[in-house]
Amino acid sequence: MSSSTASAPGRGGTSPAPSSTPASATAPRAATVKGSRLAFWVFVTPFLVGLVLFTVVPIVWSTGLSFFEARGTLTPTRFVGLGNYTHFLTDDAFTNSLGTFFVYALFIVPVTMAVSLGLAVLVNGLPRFQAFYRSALFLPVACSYVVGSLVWKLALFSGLPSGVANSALGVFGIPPVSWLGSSPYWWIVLISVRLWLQVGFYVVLFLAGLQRIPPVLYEAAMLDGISAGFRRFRYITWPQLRPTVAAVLLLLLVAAFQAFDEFLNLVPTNPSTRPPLVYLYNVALGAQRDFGLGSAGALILTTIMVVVALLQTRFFGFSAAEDRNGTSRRRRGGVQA
Amino acid sequence: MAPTSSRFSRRALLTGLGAGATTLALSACGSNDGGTGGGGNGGTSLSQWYHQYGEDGVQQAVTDWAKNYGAADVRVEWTLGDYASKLSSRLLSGSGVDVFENNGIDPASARKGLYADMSDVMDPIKDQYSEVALKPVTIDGKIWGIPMITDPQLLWYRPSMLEEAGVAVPTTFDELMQAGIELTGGNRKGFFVGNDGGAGVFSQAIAVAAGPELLNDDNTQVTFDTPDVVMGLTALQKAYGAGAMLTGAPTDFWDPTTFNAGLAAITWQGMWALPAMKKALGDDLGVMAVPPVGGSGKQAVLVSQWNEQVAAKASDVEAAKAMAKAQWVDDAEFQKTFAVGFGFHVPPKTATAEATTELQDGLAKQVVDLTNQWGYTAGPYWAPAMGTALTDAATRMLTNGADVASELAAAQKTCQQTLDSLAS
Repeated sequence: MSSSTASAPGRGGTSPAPSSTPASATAPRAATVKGSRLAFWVFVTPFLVGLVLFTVVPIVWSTGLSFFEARGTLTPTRFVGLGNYTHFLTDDAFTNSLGTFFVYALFIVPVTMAVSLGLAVLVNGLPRFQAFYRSALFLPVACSYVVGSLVWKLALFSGLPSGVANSALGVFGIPPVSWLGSSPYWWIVLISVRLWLQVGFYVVLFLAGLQRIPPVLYEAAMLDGISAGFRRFRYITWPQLRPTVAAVLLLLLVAAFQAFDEFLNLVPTNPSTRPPLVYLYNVALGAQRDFGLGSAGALILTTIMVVVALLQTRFFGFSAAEDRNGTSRRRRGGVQA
Repeated sequence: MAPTSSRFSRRALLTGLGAGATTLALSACGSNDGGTGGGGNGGTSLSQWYHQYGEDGVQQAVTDWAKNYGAADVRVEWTLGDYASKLSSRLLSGSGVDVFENNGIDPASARKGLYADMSDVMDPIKDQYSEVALKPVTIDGKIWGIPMITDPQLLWYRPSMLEEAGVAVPTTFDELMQAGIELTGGNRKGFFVGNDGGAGVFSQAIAVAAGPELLNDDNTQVTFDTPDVVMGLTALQKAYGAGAMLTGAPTDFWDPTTFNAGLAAITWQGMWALPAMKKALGDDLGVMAVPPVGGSGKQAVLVSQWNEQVAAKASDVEAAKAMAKAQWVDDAEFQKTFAVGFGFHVPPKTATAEATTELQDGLAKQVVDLTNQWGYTAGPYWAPAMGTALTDAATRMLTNGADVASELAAAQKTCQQTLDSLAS
């Protein structure tokens, strides 16, 4: 196949000349397509089977379960219609868990965004050792959320006087704090552990975005008298980072919505810090094992997440304004031409 | 040659990948998932599930029993991590588990046919068990498991700390809460009753010690919302607010390390930890039931229990029942060893408990006597969702200062809805 392709006239030449492509090139091309089709199915089939078995079937099954009373069984017989869905309208625990997500997202999203962008700008400006700092910041991403949570719980924010945070407070004569037992201290623990675990990932994303900004823009800015500092960031770096910011914002929102491990390990029984997924875990997979209710809740949460993601993309997403205003893009393209 | 070689390599790679995937798939279909035991006896193979016990020696003891069992090959599955979820998945899939222990027998699973009915084993001998031991295994008039071990949970204290603070052993719940406040000072707290400040254990214990308990006798009404329970929870809220509860310990109340280290004067603990506490504290250890709450209250000891069950879809239900009976009904010596050889538990069979010499004196006897007199278990109709609703309410009372009466009323309403849904 490769030898036929290599012998095709016109390949590798400097003149593409489409009209000069000989008819003989059609045969190897057809062979290539045929071979590609086989290869396509060989490679895709295992993943397709996995996708159908482990994603599509569970979603369809779960949708079915959500209309049944399914305590302790995956093959229920008692149809309850929308009963499982209407349950959530009156379940304070569920609405409170959505409130918990809202409060959590309100803190973790902007804080992670600001810290990771700040660190990325700092690292990007370093004349040397960029790779070292990039790696050092990325290292916690490799750590399990469970392990991170245990370190935070047992060592840093233990409620005992011997905990690191309480020892530090003790130096100033402040009595020990029960970090996970009193509001709002538990938010300090929950926010800081996730910040430590995920900020490196977003630093790398922002670094990639920063390195895509053409240097010529900074040179032009210098000619216009903006050499460095906040104005350069505001008028050049920030607008150029917009697609990266949109992607990071979406990823952070989804990650906040999916918060689970640290909440389950740090504050397993506290209703004031129970996010939606922990609530659903207790309903469907914990001791309650109510698969009908759990499935309905999962579908409601999925719907909420999809709507939020669509709205976010619509209003803050990738060049959203330009996408809506095709004429400006065409006009800009015309000018460039 | 190069293109041919390249094509061959690609095919070889694909063939290898396909063969590897097939091998993996076939091996995944096998039943070898890391169990131990099996003695090569008879033609019947049984898989017996245990959760991971904290005490050394338990796994060896059950594996040895399985090896010596003559009527079937018994394979012990020692399950690490979230036992309830793993067991539930296996029961739902209907394979891989024949005999299993369970501390949360639930009506839905029994009615959906996940458990084998053990009434034929238990009915002839049920008068040999206490009412408290039979309650968790009885649903809809049938018995679904053999009680294995009973775990009384109650209050333990350091007499030296009470004496030093000039505090008498409390005889009412109000005195208990006040004692906790007075015993708090320096790096020591009055209570260690769980990292939730006692919301989990005390919310239920107060309902029992105030008299109404959690459910009525025929399990149709939730009964804990009474003025006395409100009073008890208000006293708990006051003690929490005064900083008398230790929270944020590395492990929860079930691990005696924090109490042994002197970080609290009174703790909530199961009898299983008695050997570890005696070893660390010697004679400086006392035990008491939860004192009465209000004028019509009574003492309370909360009892949890592990039970041996058979899966309805076991490979051989009759063989599995016979094995469960041989181990947990007939083999009294093994039951005694299991109860007191490693940690401390009470054999649920009355005669076996009376014949266990380690439970006949000192603190162990005190606990057994208190349990016989004041032991309480809510039973299988007290569903986990109900426990969560009550604990959530108590947590809000403690950590957010929420109004006790309205939280308790709301919790009772939620619990009643859940109980009604169980009946339908």
